[in-house]
Formats: sequence, structure tokens, C-alpha cells
Amino acid sequence: MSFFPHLLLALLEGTVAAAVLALSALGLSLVFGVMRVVNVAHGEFFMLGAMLAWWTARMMPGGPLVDFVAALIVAPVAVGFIAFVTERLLLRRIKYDPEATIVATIGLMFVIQQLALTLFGADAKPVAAPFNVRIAFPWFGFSGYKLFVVAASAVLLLAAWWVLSRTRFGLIMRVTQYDGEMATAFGIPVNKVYSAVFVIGAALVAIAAVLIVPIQQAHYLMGLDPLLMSFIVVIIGGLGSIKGSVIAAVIIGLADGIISMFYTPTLAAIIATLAVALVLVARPQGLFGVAAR
Amino acid sequence: MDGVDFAIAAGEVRAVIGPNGAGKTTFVSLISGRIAPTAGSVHFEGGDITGLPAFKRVRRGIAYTFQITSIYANLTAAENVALAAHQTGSRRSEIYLERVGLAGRAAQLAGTLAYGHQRLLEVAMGLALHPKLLILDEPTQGLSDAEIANFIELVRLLSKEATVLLIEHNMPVVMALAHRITVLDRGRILAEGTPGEIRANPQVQAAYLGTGDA
Amino acid sequence: MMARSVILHGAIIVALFLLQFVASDYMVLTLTRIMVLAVYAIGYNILFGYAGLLSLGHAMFFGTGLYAAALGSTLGGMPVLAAFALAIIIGGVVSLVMGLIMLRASGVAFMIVTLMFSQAAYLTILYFGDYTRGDEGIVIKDTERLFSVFGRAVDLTDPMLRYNLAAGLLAIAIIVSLVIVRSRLGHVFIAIRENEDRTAMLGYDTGFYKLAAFVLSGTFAATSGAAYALMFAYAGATLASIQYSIHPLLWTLLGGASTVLGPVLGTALMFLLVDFASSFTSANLLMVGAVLIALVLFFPKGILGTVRQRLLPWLP
Repeated sequence: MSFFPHLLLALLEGTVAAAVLALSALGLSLVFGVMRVVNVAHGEFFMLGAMLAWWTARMMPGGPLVDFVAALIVAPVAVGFIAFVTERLLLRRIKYDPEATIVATIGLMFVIQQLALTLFGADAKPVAAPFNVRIAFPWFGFSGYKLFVVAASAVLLLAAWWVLSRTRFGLIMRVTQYDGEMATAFGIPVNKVYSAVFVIGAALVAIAAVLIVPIQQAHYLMGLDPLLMSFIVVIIGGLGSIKGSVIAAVIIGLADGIISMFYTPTLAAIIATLAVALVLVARPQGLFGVAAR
Repeated sequence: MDGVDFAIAAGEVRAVIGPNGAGKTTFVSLISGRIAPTAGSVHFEGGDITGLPAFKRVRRGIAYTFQITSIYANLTAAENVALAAHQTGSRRSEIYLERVGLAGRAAQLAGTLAYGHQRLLEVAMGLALHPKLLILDEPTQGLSDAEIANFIELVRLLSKEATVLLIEHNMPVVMALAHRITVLDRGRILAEGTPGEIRANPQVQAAYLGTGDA
Repeated sequence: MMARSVILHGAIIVALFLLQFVASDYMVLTLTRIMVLAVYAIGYNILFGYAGLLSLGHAMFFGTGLYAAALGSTLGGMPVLAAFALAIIIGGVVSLVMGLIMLRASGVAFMIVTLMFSQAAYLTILYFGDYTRGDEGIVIKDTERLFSVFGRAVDLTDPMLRYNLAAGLLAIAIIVSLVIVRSRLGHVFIAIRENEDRTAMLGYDTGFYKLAAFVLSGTFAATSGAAYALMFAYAGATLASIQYSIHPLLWTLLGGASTVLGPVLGTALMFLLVDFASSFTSANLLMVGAVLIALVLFFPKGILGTVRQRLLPWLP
């Protein structure tokens, strides 16, 4: 394959990466935007989503399509529940203090990781894609499922945007983000909003995991990469800006896809981090950053 | 800020008043360096300080006491002042505590002080900086009448050594202390003059003093 | 008050040296490890406990010292002392450069960025596996760990000698930490931690002080890493991974952040805890995670922090 087809393939792979990245980072960005805390166990929620997809496939009778649909229900609900418990028992107790939350969720990250190791074992677990369609390009075949993932992500991102900007619930979230005290004064149950946002953030990343796990296998250590990539996206896009996260995810996902194809994934990650360094030096608040109140 | 051309003379006590939202805190933030201007310049003692960050302006002699009390709650009053005086020991810092009347509470944790005393601690810290220009942002807010009376005396003494820029809502305090008053309204200077001139100014009365508080 | 602190810290240092006479061979080895790593924790504490900056990426500096010493000694063929000194200097330089970049982020962004860069450093170590031998690691030969000082041969394979060197290093770290904390530098660190905005408005260049804390902290970490490599003859990628960034945080929190001796206590306790638990489970990280959560929820001041609050307010 000569250069341009190779580039096209890289762009396609990059688009898939960008789609999944945008969806995973969305959860993190939403939580930080509204609650002003960072959940370091975010990557482990991703990993749990993937593991549950595998487990559901094993438990359910029927073919991969049934497994997929079931996983799309089981994973977000289960991970959402774990997030709910975390928020109630942990985050509320420490009053959403940013530093304490980071330390506590690091602890949570280790606990979840090791529990996954104990429960599921150390080997990588493959999950079959719900359908197997190959799109035939003149130079190569490309998985139709991957294109489906891009479409699904786009739909979910648009849905999230619609909810945030057009619904009452979205308005409540934005008000709470802007000024938590003021929100309380208006009778908004801020604690309940926080719960909801945290759970939704976790559910979103679990869905992202279910989407991606047919493409890469489920493994108990798989949470770290999405976590770091989400961090990179959120810093470059600007902490607290959801629009920024999405745009940064697209840029970084594409770049990552291209560099991974032509060089190695390790190098792609290193370069992404260097990009953060540049952004920090030139524009510390990120591309679309909101100054902290 | 909209076309604000402001000058304060050495040794003066200038009060800046204006309704809520007039931009008083924005104004002093521009002077103290907490915000950077989008246009215009700030000069101090003949030098252009527009590009200087806040901490450098403090070193040049501009001290700012916060509108919302900002002290080190977990340190003692003496340690608070020692930091302001850039010392390690708390010994000499007691002079400043004495001047504001807090000498007896030097060893008390600043966070446990009564609100009025915390305000005074802020002033003591401002003094320890040996400022040429002392900016007091709503210093009497939350103080009792007796404390306010003491405060007026304190500022009278201070004004002999430093230029004082006073943001205040409390009109009796303003009238008692200010040599001149600047009135801000919606980011612009509405009027400037002696207390008598300002009191008689109909525009000022309409915008601000209309409630008959003066 | 000053005298009490000096006596206490002096007594601890003396006790550390005396322990070697009552400890078993296994304990001597473990204690040596603890003491070298306690230097890392003390350095971490200067940044975290005193200046109030939470770094999640200090493994980057520990790893710098580790690999600089290991590579200097094997590939570079440098004598031990030279490799050690070089590693410390490189550690200082790297801390300075990284500090200048990372401190441009503040608050939560800073914490995330430290994690990110540390992971990138870890990946870089793996990427250059030709030189660093990745996870497998570099093994320093015994002959390379012989050096002479003032004409006397020093053999780092000798456990007793190693123990004393480690104790000496830790003693220096404790003393330096104590001096910093009581100096004006230390007071400004604390002021920045308590109220950074206020501190700037008192005329302090907070950017400079934060960078100073960062460089001191990174240099301590690199020193610990260099000592670790040279004493235990091994430098592997795991020692520069995220775990090794979280360890000093855990040790410091457990022992008591913003106390000089807290990190030492915390390091020792966690080692003993892991040792004790490994007899019936291999879920080491699970315990780390659980302890972190427990500390944050119930015991944020750590052991010596609580002691200082309830009993001994003069404890530095």
C-alpha cells in the first residue's frame, strides 16, 4: 500500500480513536465542569465497562448482537451504581474537596484494579463485535463496526450537547456549574445534581468501553491509557469546557491514530504529552479554558 | 472601567465611593496589580508600573487589604504579621499589633479572632509592609460602632505616614476621614471633590446618596 | 522549643544507627531499603506537606536519579561516587525544567499534569529499551559497586556498610528538612500553602518559591533514586511507574504530612504492613488503595500530624 491509502487508513483509525476518546473524556469533563473534582478512578470505570461487556457476553445466550445490546444496558447501569455508591459514601463525606478527592479516587483506582484482577484474572479477554461487515475500499477493507462506533459516539455527543443546552436538566447542571451557592439559593438540590452528574459521567465512559471492547480486548490494566488520554484532552481543551474537550479529543485522536500507524503507539502517547507541555507554556488555561472561580 | 483618569497625591486620604457594581473593587484591583488592564496605564511615584505583577507592586510600596478578610487562619496573629513584615521571628512584629490594639492577642490563632479583630489584623499586616500607598477595601464592614470609632482614629494617625485610598460604603467614616472623594458609577468617575462639594452635588445625590444616609 | 526539636530529631537519628546492632539480617536489609526510600518521602513532603502542592508524578524524579546512576555506572563506567553526584545534579536540572513547565498549571490541573508527564517519562524509559532494558532493568555488577574513599575500600555489597550509609543519608535528609522548615523559606512555603493569594499580596514572589520547593523536592527524590540504584544494584522501569509516584504520597499522608519525621514513620509503617500482609495475600496494591481511602476519610492528618494536634504542638 502506498502512502495515501496508508494515510487514509490512519485517518480512519484516528477518527475511531477520536470518537471513543471524546466520549470517555466527556464524562471526566462533565464531572469536573459541574463538581470541580477529578475522578482518577475514571479509567477504572472504563475498564469495568469493558469487563462487564465480556462477562455479559459469556452469560447471555444468543449471538454477539444480543450480547452487545445487553452489555449496553448492563455496563452503564452497573458502573453507574458503583459511581453512585462512591459519590454517596466517599465524595460527599470529604465534601468534594479537590485534593482529597484526587487522593481518595487514586485509592479507589487501585482497589478496583486489584479486585478486577482477582475476579476476572490477568489475561486479556476478547469480545466479539455485534456484526461483521467489511467496507471495501479500493486499497483495503475496513471494519464496518468501527464506523458504527464513530457514528454512535457522534450521536451520543450530540445528545449530550442537546441535553446540556436545551433541557431543563441541562440548565440545572449549568447553573450548578457556574455557581453552586447560587444554585442552592434557587432551591436546586445541589447534592442530588452532583450525584446525577457523577453517575452520568461514569455511565458515559462505560458505554464508551462497551463500544470499544470489540476492537481492543478487555484487560484489568486497560484503564490507565484512557485515563491519561482523557487528562490530556481535558487539559488541552481547557478544564471545565466541554466544547474544548470534544475539539481537543478530535485533534488528539486523529494525531494519535496517524502517529500510531506510522510509528508506534508509545511514541504517540509521548508526543501527546509533549503537546500538553506546549499548551501549558503558551496558554495555561487550555484552548477554551474557563478560569476557576 | 471606562475612561477613568485618576490621580492621588502623596499624603492624601482619598475615599472612593459608589453604588454596588460601580467597579470600586475592579478599580483598586487594577491599581494593586491583581488584574491587568486592557488599555491604559498605571503610574506610581513617577514610574510606570502597568506591567508589574502584584507582588512587585507590593514591594514598591502599594499595600492592599482584602475586602473579604484574607488572613492565615491557622497561624497566630503574630505569625500573620511576621509574614507581612518578612521576618522569621514574631518579636518585632508586635509593634504593628500594638498600633491596631491587638497586642494582647498576638498568640491567638487568627481564625479564632472575632471578625472585627480579623479586620484589624489585616490592617496590621498592611502596616507591616511599610506602604507608601495603603489601599483599604471596605475596612469597617461588620465592625461595631465603637470599633469604627477606633478605626477612624487609627486611619488619621496612619495618614501622617502613608497615602490612604479608602473604599467605603459607610458615609460617616468617609466624611470624617477623606480629604477628597472620588465617586464611581458604572465604571466611570461621576464626580471628584472635597466632602462638602460631593455632598452638595446633585448627580451624586441622585445616583448614590438619595437614601439620605449622609 | 528549638532545643526540644533538635534533641528529638537527634535522638531518632542516633536510634536509627543503633538499630543495626539488634536487627536480624533480613531486618537490616529491609531497614536499609526503608531509609533510602524515606529520603524520597521527606523530599516529597517538602512540596506536598509544606508548600501544599500535590504532585502525582514524582516517580519521574526518583527514576531520573535511578537511571542516571545506573547508566552512569554501567554504560558510563563511572566510579560510584561520581555516578551518584551526577545523578543528583541531573535530578536537580530535570526538576527545574519540569517545574518551570508544570507549575504553569495550578490547582487540579497541576496535579493531573504531574501524573501525565510522569507517565510520559515512564513510556520514554520503555521506548529507549535498548539502553534502559525496560522492565527487565539494568543490573549493576558487584565490581562496579566498589569504590574507595580516602584510600579505604568501600564495598556496597556489604550489608552493614550499606545500612550505615543509608542511615547517614537519611540523617542528612532529616537535618536539611528541619533546617528548611524552620527557615524563612519554610515559612513562606507554609504561607503559600495556607493562602497563596494573600502571600503574593504581601510581596512574595510565589512563583519563585513554588519552583524552589519543587526543585528541592525533585532533587531529594533523585538522590533517593540514585542511592537505591547503587545500593541495590538494580534499576527497572517499575521503579519509575505510577506506583512509585503514589507511594511517597501514601507514606507522607500516613506518617503525617507537614511534619519532618512523618514521612520516615509512614515509609517504615507501610513496609511493615505490606510485609505482614504478604504472608497471606499478594494484593499489595489493594492495601495501598484501601489505606489511602481510609486516610482521606478518617485520618487526614496522619499519625504525627494528629500527635502534633493533640499532644505536642511544637513538633516541626
